[in-house]
Amino acid sequence: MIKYLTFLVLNCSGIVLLSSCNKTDPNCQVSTSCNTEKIDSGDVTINISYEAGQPGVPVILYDGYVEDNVILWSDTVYQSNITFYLPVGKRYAAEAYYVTSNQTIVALDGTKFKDNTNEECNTTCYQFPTVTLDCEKL
Amino acid sequence: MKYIFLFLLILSTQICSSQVGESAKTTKKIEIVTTLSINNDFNLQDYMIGLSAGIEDLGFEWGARVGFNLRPFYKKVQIKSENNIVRQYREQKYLISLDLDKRFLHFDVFGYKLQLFAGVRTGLLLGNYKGTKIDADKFFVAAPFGGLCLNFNDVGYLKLGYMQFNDHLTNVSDSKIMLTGIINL
Repeated sequence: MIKYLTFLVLNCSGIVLLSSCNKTDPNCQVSTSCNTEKIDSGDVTINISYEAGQPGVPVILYDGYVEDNVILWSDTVYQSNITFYLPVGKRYAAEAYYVTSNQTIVALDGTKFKDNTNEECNTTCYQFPTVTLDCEKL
Repeated sequence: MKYIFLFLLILSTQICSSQVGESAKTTKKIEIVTTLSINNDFNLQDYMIGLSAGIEDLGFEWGARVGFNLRPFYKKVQIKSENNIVRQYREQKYLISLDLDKRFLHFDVFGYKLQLFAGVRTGLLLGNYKGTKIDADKFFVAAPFGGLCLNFNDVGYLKLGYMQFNDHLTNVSDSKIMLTGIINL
């Protein structure tokens, strides 16, 4: 039992040491590539299973969840991906319809579109946000 | 094939010797210890990881553990819906589980203490999908399992076995390998 407690204490102290390293480095300098301005929009890409010469794939892009039924865009797509420039901080969902003679596969994906950031010397650096919705057929 | 035969031969000789040893033992008594375990269940299509806490009876060599397991990524799954419509989601899965198992027999193979084990994992299988508010259907599961257990002098166990786990997915096989590490506290 004692050895497990020792292991736990060592682990905890390691975490404390590691976290304290970041805060107290006086020589830390933010790189010139760090953009501290928040970027309000980015690319939302929908990946689709499309083969050249085949019928197009109907795709619907929703604002929010599918059930909210707020359609941002819908069309038949004749390529394997399509990209939209959309505001960050919102949730998006996409559906692709693969219709064959005997069944229809409705492929759905969705996510919250978050800021693309990294931390440098306790400063938040913003990068161009991108997200991919994977509506490719299994 | 000859290796399997050799392995079975070694096991059978070990079973004979172990059973002689067993009969010479004095009467067993209940000796409960608490345990912590890490569960890994996988096949070529899926993977679940989990943590469990429970008890192990060192005397009668059985264990019971309550755990929480999850698929640590979103997996594409297809669910048959109405009127020839198949819905494809990206799914995360959770399992609140109760494991019951029994170890039996003792083999000494190349200096390692091996045992066989068999048991069942029961629990509630939950899940959610990306892009929609609906959750995956909840299922009660009862998955039988069995395999080989490496016994570290009753301080811990490493169990490698087969589990028949029906997760109601058409694109994931029910046959899974289980790898569980258990520490007695």
